[in-house]
Amino acid sequence: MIAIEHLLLMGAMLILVSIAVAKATDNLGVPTLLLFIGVGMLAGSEGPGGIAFDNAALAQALGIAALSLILFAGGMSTGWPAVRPVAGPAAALATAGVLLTALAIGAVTYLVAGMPLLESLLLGAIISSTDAAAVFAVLRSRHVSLRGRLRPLLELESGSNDPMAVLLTLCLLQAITGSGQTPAGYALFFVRQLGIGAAVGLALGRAMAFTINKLRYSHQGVYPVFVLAGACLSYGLAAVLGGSGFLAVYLAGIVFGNGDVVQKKSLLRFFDSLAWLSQVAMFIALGLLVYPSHLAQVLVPGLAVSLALVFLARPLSVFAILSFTGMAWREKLLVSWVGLRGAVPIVLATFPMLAGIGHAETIFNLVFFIVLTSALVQGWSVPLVARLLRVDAPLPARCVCPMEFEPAPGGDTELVDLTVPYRSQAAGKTVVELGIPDDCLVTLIGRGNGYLVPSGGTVIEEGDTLLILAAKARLPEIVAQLSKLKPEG
Amino acid sequence: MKIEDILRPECVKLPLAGATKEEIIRELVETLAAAGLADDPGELLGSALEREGLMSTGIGKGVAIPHGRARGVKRMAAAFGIAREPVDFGSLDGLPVQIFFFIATPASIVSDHVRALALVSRILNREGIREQLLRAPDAAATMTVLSQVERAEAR
Repeated sequence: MIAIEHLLLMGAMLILVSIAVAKATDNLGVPTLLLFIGVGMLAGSEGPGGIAFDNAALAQALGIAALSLILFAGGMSTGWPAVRPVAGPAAALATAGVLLTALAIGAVTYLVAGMPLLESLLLGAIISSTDAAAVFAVLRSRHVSLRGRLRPLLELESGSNDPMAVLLTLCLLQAITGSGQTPAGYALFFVRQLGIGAAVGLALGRAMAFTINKLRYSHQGVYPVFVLAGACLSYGLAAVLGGSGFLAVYLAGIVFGNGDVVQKKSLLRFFDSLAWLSQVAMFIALGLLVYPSHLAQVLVPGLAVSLALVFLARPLSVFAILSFTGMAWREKLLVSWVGLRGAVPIVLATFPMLAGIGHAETIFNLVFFIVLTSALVQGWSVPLVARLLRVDAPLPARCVCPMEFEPAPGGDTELVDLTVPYRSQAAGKTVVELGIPDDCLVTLIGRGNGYLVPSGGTVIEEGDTLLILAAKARLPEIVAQLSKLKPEG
Repeated sequence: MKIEDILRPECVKLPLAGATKEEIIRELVETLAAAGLADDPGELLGSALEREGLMSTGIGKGVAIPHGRARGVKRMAAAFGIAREPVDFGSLDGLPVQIFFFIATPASIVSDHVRALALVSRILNREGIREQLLRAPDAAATMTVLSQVERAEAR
């Protein structure tokens, strides 16, 4: 057991390095997964960091906790109105699509990697789901904006398809270790996992939204803690009851986040930070866990399976599942391309290691290799591919605080910027003394290289730029006030 | 925010050829369009002229900061120019204007627009700066003057 001060020191260093790396590469659009796994690999036993970490059980526990928070945060910031129209296709992709991908990958692996059939299928199951953290990170970066319903579809799919991959993995592990069940047993297992997971998630999400509004506790810092506990409860309760914890926590996030709840802004911000920290911690831990030199040993089969995933398995399942939706082929190609693999497969790849089955090491290294190539090739190129397929939308202007808006056409009020002229009589007066009409409001003052949020007593200076919300009819009065000059000299 | 972030040397026009308010504004907008900073010059020009209609941006002392917000502008950009002869700009102090600093902002951005206007009007109000700008022989000299005064302002 290492001493707590060393743990804190190391943890802090790794996080600070990750922030520095993220900041330095902010403009390059590198998928966060690559960055932080890279930090983990460099910090690990084969890199300059030299941290020896081979505790797969700990990495798995950390991964599951982090994924739960990422899923909850992702669910919370998913607008239900945007995703409702794509719920059908997304659900189909998240279940049948995952199964198809797993089978196709399993077949290819069996043919090229020289592993037994069940182990090959296990590998297929492990990498069958797309990764919520990776997909959210890529689609919500400011480098890409997608047309129509592509983004909600991809986000909903990636958030909801992990349970299926987990279940397939567990079933195949059972079959391999000889504790297999009858087909009816497996079917019941699936129904129970998904049913209980969904029920717990929906119920707890609703209960949290109801309770937080009744909480009325004077210390506001408690609210995010309450919700954090609720998120953990969703996973824990569902899993203990024999349901899918990932499904529960994601659904709870969606239901809670779309409810009418107090403090939503600060909660969203809190969970945004938490999700970021979770990503860093999880990816670093996974990066530490792998031996980069072992990845080289699986180069050939790894590349073959990666190619099969990107160009065969994923397009196959996407086109098959979405054939009934009437989406354009360009859109389906893009959905195929955003089949990003991420943390879930790596976390799942620790299951066979802990179960102690043969080929577990190979499977782990193959999965790791495939995830890296997926993030590197697909993750990085999503903006480019979206442009090539002409399914991108103009990038929204980046929000800069403290306030932005899209001027509404019509309406008889207007937000105008007026610069106080040199030698204006207004300079030296307070906002109240300006004599601005009652139904007009000075909302913001730009001064020098910064802003002031004005109060009635704020003294105006020459060259200040006033952002004024005013009825159009009253503008001339304001202009007249500012235009009066002090006498010469 | 720094002046260099929004004003590139190729958007400094010495001297401006225009002799009327509208010609000058059009010339500054075209300078931005030529630098690839405004996709739809007509839209930007219309926005700037509309703003002039509300209240002249000739803020006195021979300085004007015309500006517009337009969808065709993808990131905030500025154009600077000195007119050959001072131009009647409807300034509030009645003086003709020779120094022009045009600011173009994406339609959805408000607060940075306000900040840029405040920054420019503050800088151009400093003692001696206007004479130095009028004397600057080329874009490089203009940029030097602006960044020097900006550093002095920051102190």
